[in-house]
Amino acid sequence: MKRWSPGYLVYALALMGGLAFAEYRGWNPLSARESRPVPRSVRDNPGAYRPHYGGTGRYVGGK
Amino acid sequence: MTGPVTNCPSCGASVVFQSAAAVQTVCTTCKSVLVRHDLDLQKVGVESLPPPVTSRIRVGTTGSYKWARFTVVGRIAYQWESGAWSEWHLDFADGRSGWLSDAQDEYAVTFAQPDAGALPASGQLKPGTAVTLGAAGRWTVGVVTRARYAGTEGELPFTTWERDDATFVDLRSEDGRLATLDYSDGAPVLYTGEFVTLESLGLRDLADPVETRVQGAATLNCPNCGGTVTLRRPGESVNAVCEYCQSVLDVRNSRQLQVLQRFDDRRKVPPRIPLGARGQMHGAEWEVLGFQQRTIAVEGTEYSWREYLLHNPDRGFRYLSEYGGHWNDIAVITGVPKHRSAVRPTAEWEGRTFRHFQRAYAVTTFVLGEFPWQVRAGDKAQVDDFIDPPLLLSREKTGHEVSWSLGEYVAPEQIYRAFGITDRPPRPQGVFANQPGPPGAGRMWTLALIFAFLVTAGWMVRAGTASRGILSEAGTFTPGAAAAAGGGWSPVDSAASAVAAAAEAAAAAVSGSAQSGVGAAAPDSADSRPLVSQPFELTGRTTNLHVMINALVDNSWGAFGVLLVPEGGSGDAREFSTDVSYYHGVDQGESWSEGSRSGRIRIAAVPPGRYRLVVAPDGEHAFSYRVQVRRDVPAASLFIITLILLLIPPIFPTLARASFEGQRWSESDYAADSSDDDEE
Repeated sequence: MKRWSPGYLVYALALMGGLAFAEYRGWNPLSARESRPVPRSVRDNPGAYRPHYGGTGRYVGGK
Repeated sequence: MTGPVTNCPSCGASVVFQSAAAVQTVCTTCKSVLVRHDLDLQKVGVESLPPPVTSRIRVGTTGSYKWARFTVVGRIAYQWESGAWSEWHLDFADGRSGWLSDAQDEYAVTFAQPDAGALPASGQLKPGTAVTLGAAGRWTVGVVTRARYAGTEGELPFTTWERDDATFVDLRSEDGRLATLDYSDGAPVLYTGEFVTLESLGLRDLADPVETRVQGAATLNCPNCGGTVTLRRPGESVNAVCEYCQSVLDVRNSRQLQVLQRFDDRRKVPPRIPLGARGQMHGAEWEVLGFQQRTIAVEGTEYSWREYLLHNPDRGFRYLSEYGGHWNDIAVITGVPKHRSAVRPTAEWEGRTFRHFQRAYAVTTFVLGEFPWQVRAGDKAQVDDFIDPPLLLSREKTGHEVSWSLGEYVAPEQIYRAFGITDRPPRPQGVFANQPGPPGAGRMWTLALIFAFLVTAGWMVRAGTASRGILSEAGTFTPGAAAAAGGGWSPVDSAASAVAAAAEAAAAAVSGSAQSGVGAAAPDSADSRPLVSQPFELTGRTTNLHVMINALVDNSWGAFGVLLVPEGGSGDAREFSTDVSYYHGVDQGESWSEGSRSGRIRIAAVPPGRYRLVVAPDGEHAFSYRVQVRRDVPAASLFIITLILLLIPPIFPTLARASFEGQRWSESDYAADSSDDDEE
């Protein structure tokens, strides 16, 4: 007689709950990493924004 | 019920027939054997006393079988090479005549089947032979016994006078019934019935225990060495072994012990449970009567296991076996399991299917203690083991007998505790045939598949729900302009700079929104400023935002800083980055390409509100790009990770069980490197 696995049932239900909650909130394990902090002044003047690597010029791929 | 009364022709004493079916009786006064011809009695001889009985049944005992009352009116005592048994003649109140077989604490009630039809000759029946006996059904031959009449008492439905010996064939059915073919009278007679317990018969008027059983042990002197031999079941044991010289003795006649076999000291094997030890098992007290070591040889290597014979006066016999620290609790079963011959034979018993594990030829290599049947070193038997852990079904076949027994794996500590042995039992070595394995995944796989289905269905529902497009704007990048704009953060602190920057931003936003598509406009230095999007409104719950950037880079790369800026009074700007690169060419005549022109930024948990997106491109060559924003995008990776996490827990117990089963079967006839040549 095969056993039911109540421990696994709880585990699976917890996983399903976690999946539903993460999906509801839009979480994603591949979410982009944020660069922090961003000066608050940028919010008032977004046109002045320059990224961290701006203007440095770099090679990221290719042969 | 009292039958006709007449007088003994020998001594004149009154002879009362209890059974109307009785043909022969023994005068209780002069022991003359009297055969009835209607009411006339003929003395045919004088009966010597039959051997004493070991049960408490006697002539005069009453009981009931299947609601029919009976009285024990007679007995025939038989002896054969391996022991003795009694058949008690039952006179039923409804006029039937039956028999109660009494052999080594095993009891069965049988009735003659005069309408059985044609029955096979005894020479056609060998142990293990399957035979159909007319309406009585299908049977398997268990034992073929050549027995000697050892005496009678009371009334019998036929005369046994001048009978010396007879052949009996015991048969068993798959449902546990018993049949006997009696060849004592020329034409065979079939008896069928079933095994019973004395308790189920509700016996009354039993003999006093003192009359039947010798209370306590008896001592004898070994004829070989003079040592004291203790008999724990005097009168019942057939064999006993002198503990000093290990001679196997025939103890049926205590006045004339016979040495059957002598042992060499070097072969002495000490039992782990001492003879005479008593232990509580199955709600009863069991005494260790005998001990034997049996050995099999597999590919030139000998393997020995030990068996302990246990006895309880009311429950009969059972065994304990021990091999390499593994113990089994074993009882002989009364029926014949359904045996299926195949590449891998199986046996079915009580609804369980047992798989064939091993066939071996076991030889008894050492004996100690006493046995109610003949046992001696050198006894051989073909042993087939079938397993359904923790149970072990064994078939033992000798020249005249096939028997089945059912064992259950027992923890060594349980055995030692039951018999009060304080030593620590030896640690079990390896994996035994019927050793219970790790539990495995059980129904975990079933649950895992159910949940995996739910996750997949959930993904399909979510994927089918189109995410909302929020924004689509285009921009261009020119390297010189970006370099002129400078790298790193350039916070604008002064009010004048802020206004100028805002104006630039607005101009850039208008310019960007006017683009009809990626690469629609030739890049110029003005377009290389950060792209500041039109404000957009995010509604609904807090959920994700995906920013997708398609850049027309060609054998080049592009990097993007992306700023999500909330408008209004509160909230922090959130900065992200992504890059794209796409290279292609022809190498030795083969086209190649690598990289992608698309980049994606997944921003988690973005609350509702009004936002603006700022995209700052960078690169080594000019390119145009398009930025698209979508809201509430389902995360496939989340579903995949959940699926993996669901399937991981059942995998480990499954692997552990597979490893255990691999070890188990590596010791069987079905190991990867063994052949099945000797299988049926």
